[in-house]
Amino acid sequence: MFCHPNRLQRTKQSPFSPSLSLTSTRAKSSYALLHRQTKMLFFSYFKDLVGREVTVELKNDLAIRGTLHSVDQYLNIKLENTRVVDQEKYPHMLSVRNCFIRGSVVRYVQLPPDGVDIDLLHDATRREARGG
Amino acid sequence: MSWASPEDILLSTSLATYLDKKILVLLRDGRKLLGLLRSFDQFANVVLEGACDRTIVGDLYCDIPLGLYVIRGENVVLIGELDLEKEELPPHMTRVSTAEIKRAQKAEGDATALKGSMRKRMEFLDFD
Repeated sequence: MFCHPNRLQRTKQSPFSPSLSLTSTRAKSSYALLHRQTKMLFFSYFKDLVGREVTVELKNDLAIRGTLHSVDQYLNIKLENTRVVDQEKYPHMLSVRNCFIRGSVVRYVQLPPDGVDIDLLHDATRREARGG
Repeated sequence: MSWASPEDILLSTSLATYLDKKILVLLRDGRKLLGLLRSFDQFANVVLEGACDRTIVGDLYCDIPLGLYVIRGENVVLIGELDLEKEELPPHMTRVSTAEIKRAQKAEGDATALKGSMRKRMEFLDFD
């Protein structure tokens, strides 16, 4: 567990660690150019969507609208400037403006209509299906 | 897991930005825990200091203090940073005691059960 910055601990490398480092979120790499990336397609796709307005619907039916701040290999999502879709039903969320959503509880991620280049995604999927 | 630099943390999905801040943790069982984030790891296991369980029934709410909590990541739905300048709850909500909120919860549970049993009785009549 991350406790004190001065204690250098190396935890076991997870077998699912990405071949890309998370620090490369700054690089605007097109997901279509990443070939032979097994299990990384949606991670790369969401990285390209950082900064866009999305609505995340969770498995507990809570829907949150916000700006996609970041995403990681588990598809955990960090949203900024969040507003809950049905605010009266969730009064406890009133003062929450930024949140971290665990990837395992996401049901849908609703994207802007121009957020998807369907052909590019199509090609990347076919390439991954072939190569992966 | 290597240590991320300060710039990387600002751009990544790290919970480090919430350290020592007051956060709201939503759990899979519907509980809402508030407290100061003291520690976390890659599974979203979380250590919450001064945790309290906020129970909300209609317009009533109650904060039950819990102390120091370690939450297993698989139960975490959402971790929200509470904006201290904003009101945590709408103004029309009133704070009540633990006994009262338990009574309100029971009343709500009974009402739902009654609705369920009434619906079953109506369905038996089979209106077509």
